[in-house]
Amino acid sequence: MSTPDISWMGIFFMILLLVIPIVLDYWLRLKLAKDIIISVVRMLVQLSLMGLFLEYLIQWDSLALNITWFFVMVFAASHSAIQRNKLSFRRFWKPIMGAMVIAVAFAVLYFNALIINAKDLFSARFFVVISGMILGNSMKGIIIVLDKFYTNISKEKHRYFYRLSMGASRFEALRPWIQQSIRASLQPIIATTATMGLVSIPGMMTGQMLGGSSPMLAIKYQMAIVLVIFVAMIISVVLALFFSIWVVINRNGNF
Amino acid sequence: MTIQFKNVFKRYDKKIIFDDLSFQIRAGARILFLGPSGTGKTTLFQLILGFDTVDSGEILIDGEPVNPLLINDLRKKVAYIPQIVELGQGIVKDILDELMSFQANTRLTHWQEKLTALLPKFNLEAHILEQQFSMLSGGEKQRLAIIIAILLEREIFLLDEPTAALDTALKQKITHYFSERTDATLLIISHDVEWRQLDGIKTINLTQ
Repeated sequence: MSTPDISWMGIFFMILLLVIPIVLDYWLRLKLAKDIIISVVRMLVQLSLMGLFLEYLIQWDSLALNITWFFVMVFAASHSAIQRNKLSFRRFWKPIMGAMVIAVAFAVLYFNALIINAKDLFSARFFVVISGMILGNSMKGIIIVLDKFYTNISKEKHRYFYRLSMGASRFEALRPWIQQSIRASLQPIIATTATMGLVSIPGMMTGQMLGGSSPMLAIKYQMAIVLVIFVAMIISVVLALFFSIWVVINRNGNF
Repeated sequence: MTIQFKNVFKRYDKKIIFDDLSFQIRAGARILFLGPSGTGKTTLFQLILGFDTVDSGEILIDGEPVNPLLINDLRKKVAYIPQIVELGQGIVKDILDELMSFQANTRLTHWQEKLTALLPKFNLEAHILEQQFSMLSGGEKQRLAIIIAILLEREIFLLDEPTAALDTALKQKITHYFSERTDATLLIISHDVEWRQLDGIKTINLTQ
């Protein structure tokens, strides 16, 4: 049993669906039509390019290319995390990229080697695809942790200085903000993990089942990927925060 | 510990805060810094504590120009009371426990007993320890900060408007307490007249 292909006719009907939001937009004067069309066009173009790219990546399956692509993805994700927080690229790119490389590489290799027991750890089918899934979530976590941390500490500068004045080390003085921001960054994923399988069928599982896998196999993969994503996220959140503190805040606690 | 300012120049944007400021504070000195708001009194404390740096000139500690190590050392010897006392959220007792758990404070083994003795001295009741810090009044927060400063058993006090939110009777209690602390160096920023009556106090006027 394999996935049925989507014909050109199917693609036509897929795009035809857009008539519904456009009509609603016109009727309710939501003024969202432009945004909807731009975002859908972007999605179509980006995914087409990615599809094309992955097609070749999987076909050639070259170690050097797969690893290069991994770094390109990490760089793009770091860039996007820095931009979203309006942080200084010069100061933050090293800590964020460093954290993502370590966390995602660890998670994907652990998944490939120990959970699914893949023959080739770096084969594009597993290495590139799985690290892409992990990376997106790690990026979201890093965006929240850095935003909360640096916003809250600037809001509570008096309290921070007071703690430093007592002779606290940099990390002792920063403790409340480290705890707050890590908690905030992990809460969303903890909440979604708890409701998984109650309401919606996760995307990856759906894909696998459409591809002909049995539900039980799809579920095993889903469980593994949820755990791997979660662990990669906590590692990248903690590392990105600590690396950034090392780089941005000097030994006297000033930044 | 001697703290010396040598030809210090400091500005924020276009506003010049200190222009060629020099003075020296010897161990055991009592200095009251005066001057209207905006003359850099708080900045002065921030420079001493290493939260800010001079634009030119030098700050010397025991004759040595400040560096990260000296600043860390100094912060273990001072007790600072900021103008705005913000200790975070939560119950007062938990906040104190956490502050006292810093590596620099672990040598203070009897602080809890001392705390119990100090509270009534400054007209605070023991149940304040069970209250939410955010629910305390300005005057209560200020007295709590004074008590913490005393509990730290440091040799230099940096007091930034420590009695501004207190009534006259309490102002007198607190200045009286510090007048008896002849063992400590006192650096005070205050508009309250009570501090001017401390024995041996010198004033440095930051007007101009």
